[in-house]
Amino acid sequence: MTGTDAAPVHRCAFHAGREQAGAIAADLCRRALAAGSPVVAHVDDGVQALLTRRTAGAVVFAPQRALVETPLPALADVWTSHLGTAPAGVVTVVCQQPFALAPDLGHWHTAEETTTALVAERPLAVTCLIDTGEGGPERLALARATHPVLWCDGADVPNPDLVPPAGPPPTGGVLVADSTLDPGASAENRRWWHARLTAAGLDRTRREELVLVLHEAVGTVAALDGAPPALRVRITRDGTEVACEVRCRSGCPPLLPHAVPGDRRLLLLWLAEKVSPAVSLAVLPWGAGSRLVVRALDPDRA
Amino acid sequence: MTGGGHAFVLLDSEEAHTQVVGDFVVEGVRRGECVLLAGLGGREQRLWSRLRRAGVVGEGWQPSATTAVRLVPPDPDRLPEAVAGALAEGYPGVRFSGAITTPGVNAFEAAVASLTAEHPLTVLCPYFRSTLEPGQHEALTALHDTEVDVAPVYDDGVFRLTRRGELLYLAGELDSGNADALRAVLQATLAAGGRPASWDVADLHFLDVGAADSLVAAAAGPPGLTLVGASRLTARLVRLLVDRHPDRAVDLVDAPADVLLDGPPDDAGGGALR
Repeated sequence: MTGTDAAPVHRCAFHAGREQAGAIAADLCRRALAAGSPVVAHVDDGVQALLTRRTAGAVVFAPQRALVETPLPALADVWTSHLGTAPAGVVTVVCQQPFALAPDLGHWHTAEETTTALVAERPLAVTCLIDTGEGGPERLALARATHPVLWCDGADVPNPDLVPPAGPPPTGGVLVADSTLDPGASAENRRWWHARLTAAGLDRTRREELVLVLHEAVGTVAALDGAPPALRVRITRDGTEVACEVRCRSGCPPLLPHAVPGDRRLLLLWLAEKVSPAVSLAVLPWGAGSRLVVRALDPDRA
Repeated sequence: MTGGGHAFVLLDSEEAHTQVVGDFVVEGVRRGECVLLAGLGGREQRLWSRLRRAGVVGEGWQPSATTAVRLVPPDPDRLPEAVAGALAEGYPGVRFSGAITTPGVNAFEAAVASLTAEHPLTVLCPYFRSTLEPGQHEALTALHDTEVDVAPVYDDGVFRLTRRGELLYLAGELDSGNADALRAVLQATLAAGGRPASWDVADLHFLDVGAADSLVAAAAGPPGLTLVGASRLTARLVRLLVDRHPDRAVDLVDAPADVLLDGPPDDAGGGALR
């Protein structure tokens, strides 16, 4: 958010004390409301009182404890339900994490990474207000390591300290293949995907749907990265679900189910997912870039 | 090819082999004949997929000694026994083909020459043009009853376009990076002189979004486009693209369906599939 626009984002806004938290929250909420974005705020009583005064009651308030007690995917669904026909196409969420309710920082590390993944799949602009005067350096380091974007002087900047999620493999499950593909050799690439996905146990119908989306994903990433000679790809299997990822160094804009991309290359990828009901596509952060994760869903859930 | 005879064909790609030999097999099965195949050399799955798309076998079908389509050893001396056995089972005719990828005249030629004279046997000898030796085309012409002309409108080894009458046959894989192939389809469509375009896409096993969008945009305006035999995925893709552009109209028509059976024909009338 650089002014009046509203786009999916997971950002951290550092502040010093409650008054500054209220000022930042009010600024964010006013901009969001002006852009036509509904606003949900999980904030303490002081910030709530300030926001109520400064936004003429247009903000929906929710309890902070929900950030601990409600599973984040379910909470994200609740946030998204506020979207309706909002012109901005994004729900703005402002959070003050109740660290006292969950003192273990590991919990919050997981929560922040989960939020980043959820924002990649849903029309959400989530801002976490982090007080630099509370909680010690570990809490600040956690915030710096887990938010892709920082709110600085009224504008978003990429977070240089973001640490990509660690652990093998990023998509979970058993690694089936980890390789590089020449994006210009599309027919050979399709044969490669088919062979590996056959080995992963996918039937022909699911393979064909997945390969269509992967073909478009490789083409999209190649276009975004400026026609590189090779792209890194991975395939993992977790039970009957198979996940494939294509890594994009330069970053890929989020693809939202309800928002038709204006860029033709992104549109082709977005349409490919639309015709493949047993496939899901998510754009997830990966360092300074993105991972395009394409999943062949469990046939019983597809 | 109709029943009986000994023909050869010159192929320029694997896609051509799948299509031409596939058609030969499908025609034989539809006539109720037994089809013997030798020396496919790893082309089996492509061919079985072609038979599946044509509707003459089901998902996961595999040949055996009792199915209407059979693999026989690449040994010319054992072919007479296989032909005689099929005829003894009640098949009204037998077909024989495979894939000839080695230089020179194939060793089966001598064996089938006498068999076609004695039995209701139809033989298609598929030679790859790239393996022909100097003067071999003339030798093959002298050795066979006919040469089957399968010259494509376009064939780059990945995508193949052929025309039969008003119908264009799109086979293989077509993606938006293959500008030559897209151009070939559009030019062949325009050559129809303003008549509604009809494309058989039953053998088109990959079509990406960009290629589909380009083709539908160019061909689906007046006078309209009919797609025959589109896979479920291709049909969904085309419908999605058409829905985004109300000025486009595409009719999706199923390929002719067939009935699968499991034994020799009850009579010589043909049409039974195993």
